[in-house]
Amino acid sequence: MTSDACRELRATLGAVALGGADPAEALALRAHLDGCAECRAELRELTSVAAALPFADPSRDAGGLAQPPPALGTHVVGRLSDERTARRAARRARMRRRVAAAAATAVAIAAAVVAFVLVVPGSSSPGTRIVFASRSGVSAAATLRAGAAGTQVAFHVSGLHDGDYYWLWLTGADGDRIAAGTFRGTAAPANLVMTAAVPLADARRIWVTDGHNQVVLDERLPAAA
Amino acid sequence: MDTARPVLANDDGVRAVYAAHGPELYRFALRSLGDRGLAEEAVQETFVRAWQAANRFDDALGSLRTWLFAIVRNVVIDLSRARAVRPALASGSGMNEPIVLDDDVERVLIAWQVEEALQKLSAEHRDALVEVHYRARPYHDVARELGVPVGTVKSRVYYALKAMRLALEELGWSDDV
Repeated sequence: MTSDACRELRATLGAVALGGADPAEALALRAHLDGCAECRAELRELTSVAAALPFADPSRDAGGLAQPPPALGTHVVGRLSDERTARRAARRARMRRRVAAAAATAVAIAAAVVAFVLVVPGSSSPGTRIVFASRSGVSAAATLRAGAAGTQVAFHVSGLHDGDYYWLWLTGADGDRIAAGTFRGTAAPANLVMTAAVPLADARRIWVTDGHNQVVLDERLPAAA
Repeated sequence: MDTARPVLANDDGVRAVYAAHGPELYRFALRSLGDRGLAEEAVQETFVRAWQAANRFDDALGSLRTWLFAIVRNVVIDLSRARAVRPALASGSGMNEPIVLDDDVERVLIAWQVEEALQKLSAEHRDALVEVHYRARPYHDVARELGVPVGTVKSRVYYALKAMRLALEELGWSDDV
């Protein structure tokens, strides 16, 4: 229960919790605390808050709380929308592969037709968009377009080690890996355009390795997407 | 049924969750990574992972905020490892002090929570606490400077600590050590 004595001594609780009360005050409070569980509980709560205070640097936020750039919300919404689209595309591709297994021969012919159709429009086509699953802070997206020299890859990547070098690869339908080229990691997000000498219709996998031949990004391409 | 998947399943849902938690996630990431660009990246990555793992979110086990902060903590660790950077809290101030260790992330989390809670105090309460605690000034001096009785300064400090406690609890702080 809260008595007048409690009310009177409450203000001292803050000073005691912070360790800066007069000895006389502290003594008076101690006498009260022995008989008052409520004030003891309150002192415990305030003391643990006081213990957390030294972690903070109050001058850091002198100008108030930092606000994220206004565009960040839009970017988050856009990014998740991309991810949803990629997931739906992957589902459709899985569905297509199931159908393909059921009617392998028919689809082989169809794929040849699709490949023909895809190669013809060239770089003016909207392209196949791939969003890579993030791995240890590296995130990336790519747009693949059929070009005369092979598959043109517009590659957006961030989170790579600044200064390290990387390879971008495509794997063809025959399982061979074809390099699209090498590039250096940069601190800032980077946009690159590279070409691999494999027709888009034959490309099955897009991946990135680092200088130690470790795979840092890896996605399957929808079959004959 | 999970809660976050429907919440993050469309643009409006993402917007709502971002409005509620985005700025806090950003400030924590900025506090941890010391770089605005990386902090933005961390927030985006946090939402992507939250969406990907949404079926593992159990509303019964805690709030969406708690869950998002568990994710952003890992994202911060991953991002700082990806950049192979030095521990942060070693040197005192300013930006560009990213971190690596889990312990450091915990400490930055508490530091961020305390700083955020301080900002939520009224100016009177915050000033009293900053003068008395962080600047270690005697109550009498602070009272004289503000032109109020010593008892008033003490009571402001008391109410500041109580308000801090509430604000910290809202931010997911817990003192069960």
